[in-house]
Formats: sequence, structure tokens, C-alpha cells
Amino acid sequence: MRSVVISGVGRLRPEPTATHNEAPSAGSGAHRVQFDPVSLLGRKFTRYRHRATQLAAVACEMALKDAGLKIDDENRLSVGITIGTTVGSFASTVDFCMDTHTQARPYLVDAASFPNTVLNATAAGLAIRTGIRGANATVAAGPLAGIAALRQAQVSLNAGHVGVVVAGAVEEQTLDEAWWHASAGHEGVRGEGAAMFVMEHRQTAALAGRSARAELLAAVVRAGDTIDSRFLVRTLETAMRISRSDPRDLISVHARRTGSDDVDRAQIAALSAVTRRAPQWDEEVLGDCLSAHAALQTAQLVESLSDGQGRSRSTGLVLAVDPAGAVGVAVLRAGRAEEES
Amino acid sequence: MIGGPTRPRRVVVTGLGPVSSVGIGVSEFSASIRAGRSGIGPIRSFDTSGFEYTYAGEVPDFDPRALLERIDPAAWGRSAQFAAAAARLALRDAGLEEAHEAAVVMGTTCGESAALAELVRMRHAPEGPAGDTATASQVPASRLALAAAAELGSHGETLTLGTACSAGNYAVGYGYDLISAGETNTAVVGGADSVARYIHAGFHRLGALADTVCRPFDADRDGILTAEGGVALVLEDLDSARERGARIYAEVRGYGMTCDASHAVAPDAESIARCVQIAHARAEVKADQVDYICAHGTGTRTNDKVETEAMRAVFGPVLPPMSSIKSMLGHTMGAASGFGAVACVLGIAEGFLPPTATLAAIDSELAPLDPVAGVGRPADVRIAQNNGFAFGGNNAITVFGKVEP
Repeated sequence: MRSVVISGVGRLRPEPTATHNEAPSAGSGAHRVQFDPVSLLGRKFTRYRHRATQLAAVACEMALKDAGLKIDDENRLSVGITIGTTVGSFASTVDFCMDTHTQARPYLVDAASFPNTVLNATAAGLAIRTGIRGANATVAAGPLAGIAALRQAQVSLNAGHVGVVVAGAVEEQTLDEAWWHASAGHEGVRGEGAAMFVMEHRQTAALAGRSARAELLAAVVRAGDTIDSRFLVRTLETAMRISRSDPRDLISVHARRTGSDDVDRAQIAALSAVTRRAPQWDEEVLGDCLSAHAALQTAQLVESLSDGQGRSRSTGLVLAVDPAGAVGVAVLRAGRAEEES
Repeated sequence: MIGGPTRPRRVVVTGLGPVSSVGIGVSEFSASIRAGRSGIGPIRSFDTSGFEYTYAGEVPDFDPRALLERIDPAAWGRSAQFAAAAARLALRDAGLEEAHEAAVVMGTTCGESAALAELVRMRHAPEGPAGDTATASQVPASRLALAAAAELGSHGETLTLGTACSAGNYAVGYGYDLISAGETNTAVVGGADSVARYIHAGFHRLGALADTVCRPFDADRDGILTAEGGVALVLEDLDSARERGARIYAEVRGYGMTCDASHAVAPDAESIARCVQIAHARAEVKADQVDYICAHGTGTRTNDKVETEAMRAVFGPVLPPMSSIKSMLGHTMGAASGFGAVACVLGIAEGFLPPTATLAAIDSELAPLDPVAGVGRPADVRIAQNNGFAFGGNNAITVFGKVEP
């Protein structure tokens, strides 16, 4: 397997203070990203695009800039985009559907907003924004979205569909989302954000003069019963085996509380069977960012690995569990080329 | 030029599981497609009062309890039920009892659109501040592949691809990539979507809906018919399939993906032509080897014109026979190119060209074109190409080939 590296990172993290608590059904407020989409992206782009697309577009441009990757006629066909999501934009679907109930005729909806109800609106919007015309993918993976996006990008790179992928995940947080999660019985503070990564084979990055911030050693997504800690242990062990790294080299381990006590007990038990490193949940900083949670944690991990914390063979792990029946694990290592075997 | 690495492992199709308006299960589906049977009818799943266009391709006979063995349908939304039922049928058709290690990959346009529509109705309902917990829990689109994986008892890789109306081809392609790279031996791949009021309204407003009949390539075509269903294919590596004596329908030869990056809803002929070229190069086939094209063929004025133009850019003035099964099924969204894949595979295995069932008079602007009007036509199909395009310019094209015994 050829080495896949991350050569650029862009992320928008939420601010704990930026809550909305206008409606009693909106739960206990939310951590939102403070940004001005119009000044960053322009009125034309933002006008018909939902918040998730706006967040991802800013993160995408930050990642491209961080990597020093300029999209032009030479490379636009061989660069891809992968976006991880849960439902796209729930708020957009609410807005769009509202017209079917309130207008004089149910079909008198806002046609220009129709694509916003579709899962791939963000990935499509980013392609238009950046001019990236290679394989464009959307993975719907809920809390696993960040890891599933890395995995899909890795498969796409290894199969030779694209030479570079800008991959990551996004979650938006509005009153509609807050209402949805309150309805679903999800407790805790909601969050939002986006993290995008420029991913490519190490050789591609080296030829282009881009430096590897981190190496993706493993991205594993498996279906199974998440109450069963043995299944979680098996998946963690699979990821460690694929990564060919020693659990003792893990300098940080990130995970997300799922809201199910049984599942959370199982993931804590599974992590402690594999590593002595205590997991960071990051909720106090992020809230629960659902599909962006693992992506934002991965961005944080890349930063700590590339900041030279620990040794050159230091690794980090992100675990994401979906109580609906799936687990994702990403293992990354500091990006130094001399570490490549 | 984007090229794949040397592929030591060949990937074949050994099981098919269609859950459609023209039949549930492979024999019913195949017979309907050959006969040019329509699955279109007046909409029953929502109140159509106030709509001018009221026909769709629903699956009213879908009884998940009759098909599912492991999961409780009540815990899952309609699209997840379609995905899981299709996966179960495909596994049975492949003669496999279990799929513990299989990858499960599903594509979709809107995910759990029926549950979403219901939840939004609650959001606007004056009587209560909160939505129903079960419905709210069912809306994540990721649950389509998870339902199918749970139904099959799979602990393998799982993914739901939300690449809109080409998502079925993305799923076939992803499973193919995993097997050919040696990451798994078996993948159950496909797609699912459900008819929903707001999606019907969206196409209605775009002026993209047909009255009662979807007529791809016809001079009088007036649009799509929204539709639903689930579809799955079992993919295996050729050696394992032969070793266990599996019936092999066809080989997945390869696929290509491109993105228009130009318009949210309008297709782009240049980008589609590039997708065909990439698919052919990766499948190692030449245009003149293609015996049949299963068109995206939505039946809108624009799609059929742009699609035909894009095919001409690659194939030259004379195209292979090119038909649209949407003439029978309507537009099943994320399942559409999965059904297209099944039609190609059946055409190869059973020796026929699937028809454009509703064609009365071909659009002179598209001629010369052989849309296989009316009913299926006997033919030796050795290489078939399956087109899938989507909102957001997500193009994906799969290529299937005959496997010599």
C-alpha cells in the first residue's frame, strides 16, 4: 500500500460562547463557528448555498492554501473532493419543505434551493467554487463522516482515480438542527464546524514540493454491534495492524461520546484494552459536532503531530462510533519523510 | 491521464437483488424489463392534492417483513428497508448464506427522504414543539448501508455514498475498487431512495416532471417521473467465485468518475464525455467494443440531448444501441444507476438489450439512434456501459463485460 499523506489542513472550529438559545426546544444551546461567509466567500456564492457548504468552502480554501496547492488547468481534472455529512443540511430541507405546506400550491417551492436538499450539495458547491473537476464524492456517515471521508479518499487515490483529494467533513448547527437532535433525544451541547485535508501519495506531494504534515497510516470503517466491546477492540486492533505502528507510540487518542451509555461504556473498555492513553472527548471545546467531530479531532491531531510534539514516530488515533451500527478508526503519524519505511 | 495500477484481481457479479416497481427479485425484474412493463401509477404514498403532476414509480407491494430475515423493519426508514431488502435478495441470489466479511456499500440521493419529510411536517405542525423520537432517529442517510450490513450480519467495511443520482454507480465502483485492490473478497453494493412529497415538488417546480409517461429520447418527451426502490449486486473476486462454483452474471470491467463543476442541475456534455473516456480506459475497452449503453436517459429535454451529444463525442456519429430503463421504472434517484447496472448485467447474462419501452417517435434532433423501442431485443451483449449523472455534476460510468466460462 502506498503511503497517503496530508499536505494541507483547513478547519473552522466552533466558539463555546457562540450559542443560540432562542427556542426552548433548541436544547441547551450550541457551539457555533464565528465567521462572516459573505466577506470570505462573496455574496454570489453564499446566496443560494447553505451554512454547511459555506463552512466547508472556507475550510477547503484554507486547506488548499496551507498545502500551497493552486487549482489550475494543469491539475483540475486530477484533483477530487470528498465531503462527509449526516443529512447534508437539515435546515435547508426544512426551509424547502415548508413551502410545500404553506404556499398556495405544494409545488410552489424555491427551485433554486432544491439542490440544497440533496446530500451532495456541499461537494458540488466546492467543485464549482474551486474549479476542481476530478472525482467528486459525498459520504453520508454520521459521526464517522470524518474518518469515512479519509477512507474513501484513500481508496480513490490508491485506485488511481485522482492524484490529490481534498477530503473532510462538515456539520452545520441551526435552530432546525437543534430541534431535530432534541427530538431524537440527543442530550448535550451541539456543535458545528468543518475540517478539510489535502490528501495525496507521499511521492505526489514530494514531486510538487509540498511537505507532508502527517501520514494516514490507517482509516478503517466497519459495520457491527457497537454495544459489543469485543467488536470495537477487533476494529481498533485491525486499524493498529494496518498502521504497522506500536500502540505505545500513540501520543493522543480522540473519541466522541455517542449519547448511549452502553455504547460509551463499550468504547471506553475497548480503548483501554488497546492503549493506556486516556481518550480526549473534546466536547467542552467543540460541543458535539456529529459529522464534523472526528474531522476536527483529526485536524487537531495533525497539528500536534506536525508541531513536533513527541518523537518522529509519534502517532495519534481518532475513534468514532455510531450506535446505529458502525465504528471508524483513523491512525496518523507525524509526516516526516525520513520515517517512511 | 489518470490511470489505475495493474489490477491482479478481476471482479464479477454473482448476485442481483432488485426491489422495484416492475418486480421484486431478479426473475420478476428481468421478465418485466424484457417485456417493457411499466411500474408507473398514481402516487399513493402522499396526498397529491394541489399537485398538477401526480404519477410516480412507487413500490406499493414492498413488504419488508416478507423479505428481511434479521433486522426489524420498524426500526428503520423506508430507504434503509429498501437497501436491506435488496441486499438480502442479492445475497440469496448469489447462493450465499452469510456475508460476515462482505463490504456493504449503498448509494442514495436524499437518504431517508420519507422520514425527513415526516419530520419536517412535525416541525411545522402547530400542535407540538417536538418531533417524534423514532422518526428523528431514522433520518441520517448513513443508515442505508448500516441497515443492509445489519441484515447481512456483516462486520465488513461499510459506506453510504450520497452522490445523488449517480450514487448507485459510485457504490458499484467503490466495491469494485475494494475487491480489485484485495481489501475484501465480497462486496454487496447498490442504492436506494424513496418517493417523497418535497422531492416531487422540487422536480415539479423545475418543470422537469412528465405527465403520466416518461418517454426518453422521444420527440414528445416531457420529463421524469419520480420513483423509488432498492437495488443490490453481489460482487466477488473471480477466483473465489469460481472456486465456490458461483453463477457468474458478468464482470465489472471498471469505472470512471468526473465532476462538471459548472452548474447545480444542468448536465455538461464535455464532462460526461470525459467520464466515458476514463471509464473505457480504466476498463480497457475501446468505444467500438461497446454493444449496449444503458443511458442515464431521464426523459427531460436537456438530459437526453446532452447525453446523446456526449456519447457522439466519444463514439462518433453512430452509437451502439442506447436505451433508458427509466421509461419503465421512472427515476429511482440513488438507486437508478444500480438498476442500470442490473439491466446491463442481465443483458449480458441472458442475451438481450433492455428497451426504451415508451418510445413512440424518436426526437429527430437525437437521430440516428437505436433506443431499442418497445420490448427487449435478443442480442449478444459482450460489453455494456452504464451511465449515471447527477445534480452537482457528479458523473459516474460503469462498464460490464461477459466472462467466458
